[in-house]
Amino acid sequence: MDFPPEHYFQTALQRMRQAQYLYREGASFALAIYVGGVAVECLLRAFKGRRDPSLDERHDLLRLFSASGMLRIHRDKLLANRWSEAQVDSHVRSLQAAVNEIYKLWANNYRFASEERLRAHLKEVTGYQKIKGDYLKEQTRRFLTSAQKFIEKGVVLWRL
Amino acid sequence: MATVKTSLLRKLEKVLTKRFPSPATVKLDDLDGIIGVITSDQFAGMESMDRQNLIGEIIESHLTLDERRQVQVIVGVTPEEGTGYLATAE
Repeated sequence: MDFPPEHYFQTALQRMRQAQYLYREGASFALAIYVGGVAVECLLRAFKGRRDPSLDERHDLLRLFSASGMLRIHRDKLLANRWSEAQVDSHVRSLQAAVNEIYKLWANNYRFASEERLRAHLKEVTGYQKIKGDYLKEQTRRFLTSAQKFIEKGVVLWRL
Repeated sequence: MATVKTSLLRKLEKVLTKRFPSPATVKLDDLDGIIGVITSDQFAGMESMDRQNLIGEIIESHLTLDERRQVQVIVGVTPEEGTGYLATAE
């Protein structure tokens, strides 16, 4: 089944809404993180598809990010829209921070992880941070905040 | 163009390796711009924005503006984040 770039873009928005729904539902945090990551992947595939329809990055978000050309499009188009260099730099840095957060907290095989397994995994990889309440819920909230930010920046850019 | 990028990649690798010495690791790749991963204990307890600010400051102090434009994103992770049981991409 082939998906054109616009389809990937619309699916990114849909998956992001579904990830937020799963988070609010309160018992499916592992799935919420996974679906949030899929939303980001869909967005990257949308941008990549407009530049080059071939998809050989699989689920490697960092390579997809590079192939999407999002940062290059960002800079050129924002400067054309009378943003200052400093504003663009700040915007790009914010986007890079979102990528960093997504990279460190997401893996494609999370779809196989139970709530308990992912909770234990995230405690281990994030260094057992002092968090009140459900550790997995808080890490999910942080991940979705970064994913949402990334999607919102993508929406602005997609329409430029 | 490829020679210039390879040269930049080497230069950046040298700068980052000096700043993040072993046992930290620096893995860079030049696809459509430079991407990479720095794995270091120095990122423990740091928010992602702080990690990017740190990496960004290093890049800014060693690369020219034109060179910096060729760097897309270099993420910073701790060894645990980089090698967790579930972290390996399928």
